[in-house]
Amino acid sequence: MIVKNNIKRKLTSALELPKDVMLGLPAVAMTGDEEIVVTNHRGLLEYSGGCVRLSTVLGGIKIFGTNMVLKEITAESVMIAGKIQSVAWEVK
Amino acid sequence: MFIKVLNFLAGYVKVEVTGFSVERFISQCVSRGLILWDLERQGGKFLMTLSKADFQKARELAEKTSTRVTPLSVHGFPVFAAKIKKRPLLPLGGLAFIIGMVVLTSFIWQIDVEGTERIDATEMLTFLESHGFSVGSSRRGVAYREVEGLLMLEFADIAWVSLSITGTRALIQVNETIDHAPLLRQFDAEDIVASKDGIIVHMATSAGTPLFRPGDVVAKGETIVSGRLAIETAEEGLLATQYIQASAEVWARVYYTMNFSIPLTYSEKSFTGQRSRVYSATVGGQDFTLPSRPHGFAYYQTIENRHNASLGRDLPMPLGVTVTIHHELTRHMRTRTPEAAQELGQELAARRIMEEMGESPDIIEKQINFTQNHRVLEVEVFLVAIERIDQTKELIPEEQDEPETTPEPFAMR
Repeated sequence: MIVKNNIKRKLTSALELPKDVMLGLPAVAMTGDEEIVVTNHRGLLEYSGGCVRLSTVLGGIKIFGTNMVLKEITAESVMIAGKIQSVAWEVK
Repeated sequence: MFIKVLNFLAGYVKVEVTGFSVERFISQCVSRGLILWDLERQGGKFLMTLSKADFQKARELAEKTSTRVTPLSVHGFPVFAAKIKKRPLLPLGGLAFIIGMVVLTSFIWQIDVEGTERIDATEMLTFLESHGFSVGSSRRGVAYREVEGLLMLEFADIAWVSLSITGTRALIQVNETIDHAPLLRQFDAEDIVASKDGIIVHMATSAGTPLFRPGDVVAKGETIVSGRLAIETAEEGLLATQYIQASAEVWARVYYTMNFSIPLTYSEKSFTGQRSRVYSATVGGQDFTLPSRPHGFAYYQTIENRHNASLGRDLPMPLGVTVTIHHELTRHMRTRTPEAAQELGQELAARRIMEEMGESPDIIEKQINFTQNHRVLEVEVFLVAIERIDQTKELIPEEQDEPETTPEPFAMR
């Protein structure tokens, strides 16, 4: 499995293909400090007005801020609006 | 966005979710393909929105995750449709509105004419009306070329005309022919006459026979430079008379006297704050005043605001509303001191000078005299200004001046 993943990673790099599509890596896009969109998540772990924790293939991703609202949550992406202060990774 | 529109059409539910592990419930929902939006945490409970179709699935998942889903409100088109079902006149009204709009927008409600200078636009519209093209005509079947042709035939001064209809507005764009009158007029003989009484201080004649010189007193209307040229010699006398356009710049010392009075007692108007509104509906150019109570104000000022219905610039409608507001006024008798009256007199004098002589007159002497006469302050303003007083006046050649030669105007200059 690890070997298969390595081949896939090398092939993706060699062909310059998007890694979020090919490897399912999470992509984080921020618009100023008002909105953040996380794609390729694996579910919601924790949600309060000051922190949103999501599960991804790389581990957890923690988004800190104030007055955070989940504008939309689907199987592929989460759109969070509010005052974003920081984003942190919880490496496996 | 597309999903939100679909959800609106299918209907959506705002719910409150409580329980031990709401995050797990959300993750379960998402992994099953449910879409949640506007998810907010308020203390121990979660508020979220989901489609009506997903609501039942969410309830089943709530049981598995030991959470409780409580519907708060239902929104979307099904709710709207249910409301409409109880009020059958509402869709009928909507339908009547749409039909009304379709009918009203099939007529021309405004005709604008652009580009006319010598041609009277009102005359043009009256002419078109007599040929069946006017406000209220149907937009369909307008013979554009025919209307343009009729205008070209009727008005000789039109060089080019175009009719276009956008929405309910018809636009007639006109290009007029060159005005020949000024071209012809420049060959007419002219005198330079005085536009005001005064003493000439300077004059520069470029064409014509000067009849006055600096230092002379001239009266309004007197000829200063004549356009009549007498060609004569001492031996043979008058040989010929030619008539030309006289041209000169004449500067004169002009004397002004203005008299006016300022009353020391006067009435001042002020608004009481009381107002009365009268509404009128305009349909097809006719005003229909709606009944209203008489205002009973002794003194009042009226302000009229007219609002014409229009769907953008190109869709004027034959409907409108006019709001007439009567503001009640009161009058108070006031007195002013002679000093304040003098100050006001100075201001009024300056304003009258500006009205009479323009923004920056060349005034060389100014004197203002005040005389208090009972309750009135008499103001006398005496001014001396240097001004141009030359003015052209058509010269009619004298027939007895024989022999006469036809002038070559440009050759004479």
